[in-house]
Amino acid sequence: MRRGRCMPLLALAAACGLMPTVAAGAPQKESDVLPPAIPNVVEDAWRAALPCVVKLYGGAIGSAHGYGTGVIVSSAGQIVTIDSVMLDARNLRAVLHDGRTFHAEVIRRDADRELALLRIESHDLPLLEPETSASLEIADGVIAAGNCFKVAEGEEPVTVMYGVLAARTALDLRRRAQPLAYGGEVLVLDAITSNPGMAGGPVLDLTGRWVGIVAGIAEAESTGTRLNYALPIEEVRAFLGRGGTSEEAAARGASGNAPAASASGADRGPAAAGPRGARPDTGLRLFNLGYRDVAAFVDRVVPGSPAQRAGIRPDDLIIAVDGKRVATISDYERIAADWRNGQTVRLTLKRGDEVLTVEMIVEPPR
Amino acid sequence: MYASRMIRPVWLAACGAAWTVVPTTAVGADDADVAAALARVRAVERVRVECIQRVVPSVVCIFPRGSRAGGGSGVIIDPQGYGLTNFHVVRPFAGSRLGEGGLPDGRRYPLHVLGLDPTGDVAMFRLEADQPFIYAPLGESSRLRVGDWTLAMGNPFLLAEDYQPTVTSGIVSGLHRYQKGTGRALVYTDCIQVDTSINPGNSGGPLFDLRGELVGINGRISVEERGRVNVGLGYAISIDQIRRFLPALRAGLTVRHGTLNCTVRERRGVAGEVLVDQILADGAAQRAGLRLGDRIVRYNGTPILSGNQLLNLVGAYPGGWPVTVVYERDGRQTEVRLRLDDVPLPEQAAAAEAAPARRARRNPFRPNAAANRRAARRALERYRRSVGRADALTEVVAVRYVGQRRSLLQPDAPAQPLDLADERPAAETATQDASDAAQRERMIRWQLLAEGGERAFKVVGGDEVAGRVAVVLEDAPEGAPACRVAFDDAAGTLLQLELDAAGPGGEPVRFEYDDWRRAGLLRMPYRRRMYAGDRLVFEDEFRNIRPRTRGLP
Repeated sequence: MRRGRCMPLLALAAACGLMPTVAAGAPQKESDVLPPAIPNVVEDAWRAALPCVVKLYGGAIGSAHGYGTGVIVSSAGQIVTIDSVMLDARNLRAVLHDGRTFHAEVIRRDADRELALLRIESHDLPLLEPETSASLEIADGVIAAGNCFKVAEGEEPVTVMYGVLAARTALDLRRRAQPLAYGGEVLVLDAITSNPGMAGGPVLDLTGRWVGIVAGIAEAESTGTRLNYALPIEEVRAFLGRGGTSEEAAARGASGNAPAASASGADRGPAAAGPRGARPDTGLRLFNLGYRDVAAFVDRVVPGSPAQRAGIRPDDLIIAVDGKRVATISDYERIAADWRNGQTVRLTLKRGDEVLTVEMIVEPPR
Repeated sequence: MYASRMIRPVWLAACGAAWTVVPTTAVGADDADVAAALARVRAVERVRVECIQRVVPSVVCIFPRGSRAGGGSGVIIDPQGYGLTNFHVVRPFAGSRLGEGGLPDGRRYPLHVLGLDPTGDVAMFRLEADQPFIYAPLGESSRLRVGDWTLAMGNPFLLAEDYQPTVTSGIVSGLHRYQKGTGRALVYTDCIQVDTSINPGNSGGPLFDLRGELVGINGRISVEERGRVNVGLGYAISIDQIRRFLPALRAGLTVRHGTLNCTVRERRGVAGEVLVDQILADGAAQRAGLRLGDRIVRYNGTPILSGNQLLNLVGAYPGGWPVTVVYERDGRQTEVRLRLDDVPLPEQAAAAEAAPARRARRNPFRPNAAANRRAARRALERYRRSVGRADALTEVVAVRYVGQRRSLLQPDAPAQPLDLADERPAAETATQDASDAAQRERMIRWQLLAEGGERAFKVVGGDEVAGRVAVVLEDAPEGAPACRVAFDDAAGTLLQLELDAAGPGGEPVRFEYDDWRRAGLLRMPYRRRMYAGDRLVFEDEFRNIRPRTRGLP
């Protein structure tokens, strides 16, 4: 097995001129093996997946782009995509590869993985089966596709990009000022996928298997650079209920909002233990506009997080921490940056007309 | 970095039928397999490197004259130095029409701006030098498929101090893209989308396939949020579109794109229903009989499924181009043939064209009369060369060929053998006497053959004749019907000759030629059809075409 796997790397090294003498034992003259034309492997791998990719159009709220990409995962009209405010639009539309347009509704969301499941009223649709990303190795070629920049409309095929898997790692990522909820392993791609509308697009290997899903736009915590990355397909399988079949997914969808946190813990697979372990995460998400320093309103509380246990709710306004006045989000972030795991902090909140104080134990994310 | 992006898929590809099993089941690979795979990788890599080495000398770094500020890229497409770039690259010096082009030999050459296509963002230039240039052959962008490898070359960020272009590679991400004009960006119809890295300065540079054929001109990128740099979406104008404008661009004309002069809408939620929404009075669509609400079914043989697709197909053709449209009304389909109207020039260009006469010298969009004459001479020169050697002039004088002559006035009269004595050089023929269309036709052909570059034919642009891109020349000699001559732009062969009002009822007469045969030193039309108006009057073959050896009586 090891030996077989090292072939492409060998080939790579040779192609780069690092190993010019290896081919001395080559049995054939180069002219004998010259391909008549260089085949188009991308097209072959991509053709089957194309009908399963849909363009999504929703609400352009704030700085969010009002469009994205989804993948059909059941012939009965279920579509997986990356969760975003775009999906909150009243008129969320899904455009199939043949140009047919459907109204789509969100049936389930996973705040941790930023995945969402949509449904359209249709049947007999072509679907993409989530496979495994385990066989994908560093430097393997990958194909990413999606509705980036709304370049394609109606029945026009979406954008296709080629790259290689650059790394599998957990990343410290943030979106504007907020750290991302997802702390597991991601596929870092050497292809510029981090573009508006591309999130939710499938990542395929060169045999056409679905191995990942292009994630939302995010920057590296330390450098501020945008990263081109995808969630490994195992996250999609876990989100859909492991098997990822339509029946199971439908069952979960029908049962209402499955608790996202419980699904994410055990099913994380190889990605579960990231280096983010030591980093405190209170699960508190503030209403951050990104470009303006505003008052520290709570936008969201991650289920099962220290903030939830402390009883903090969305729409609370943080006015002080440990007696120190908090006027804006940046005040809060400056204070929170010094918190250590195990530390107990006192937050003064304004909720409606009342002012209350809660205690929160700072912990690493679970 | 570059090598690693490129090599891996190529290696897989090179493994041919066995490649699909490689990622997981190459367990049985022995040394011979590895060596064979390596050899394939080398072979594929050699294809690519040789391809790059072959075409790099044709890539031009374009600058304003005497300056290294600004500029872009371009590519030479024929040995005489004619080349293509973007309109927006030469716009800063479109007034003087003079710039400079740096080639990878390290030298800068004077660059003359010829034809402009402000709508399609294309411009033609010519570099000046005594020796022939290395040029890039034109490919066919219609043969591209999504996933095909492409190479972009040019001078991004003006890095090339020595004019050695930057080479980047990537795949075709999408085809037949329609990019709206926004802000300063021009409309791109039917363009090629690539994930090949395209950056500021790449504008006007070539997009090659791995055969080293020119398939597009890079001109535009999608940008948002991250500044004006590559984000993985580049757009190239397809060479198939540019090819249709080449004759007029060579002639130094400001070309117009085509329009149906109607708008369309898609029936919401119903895929593939494109309906005529608004229609301009007396526009091409109305003249052809289209009405509001008609469904456009096919355009030039292509089924129409979306509005973008129709815009792509219409906008990629010059005004005046003949097209067929199939429309459906009340369940009945009708096919009409029409010629596209000219689309108005972009605002800036139109304003310049409408400028008062005293500013005409500075008007960059004025048809270039000198370039016009040059192009006319060039087309004729090429035609002459296609008939034989460089000294074809003397050879042609000695040609005897036996065709048939038939009078339009008496179509039923028996055909007369064509007599060489009729075919005097133009100077000896009284044009007033040439009332007989057939005789007039021969005379013009004679002029083309014998008098070549001397006639002041005017290049009026391009046209499609029998599926080929043709350069169209016009002449209106005093006292004789005006004539239009169409040559194949690539091969230089005579395709069509039209004479105005030369038919018996004063209708135009048209001769069409096909079946070109080589006869001795000459390539001659083998078959000829003659139309009076739209009516086929006769069809004949030139059976005995042979050059006469000089010195015979």
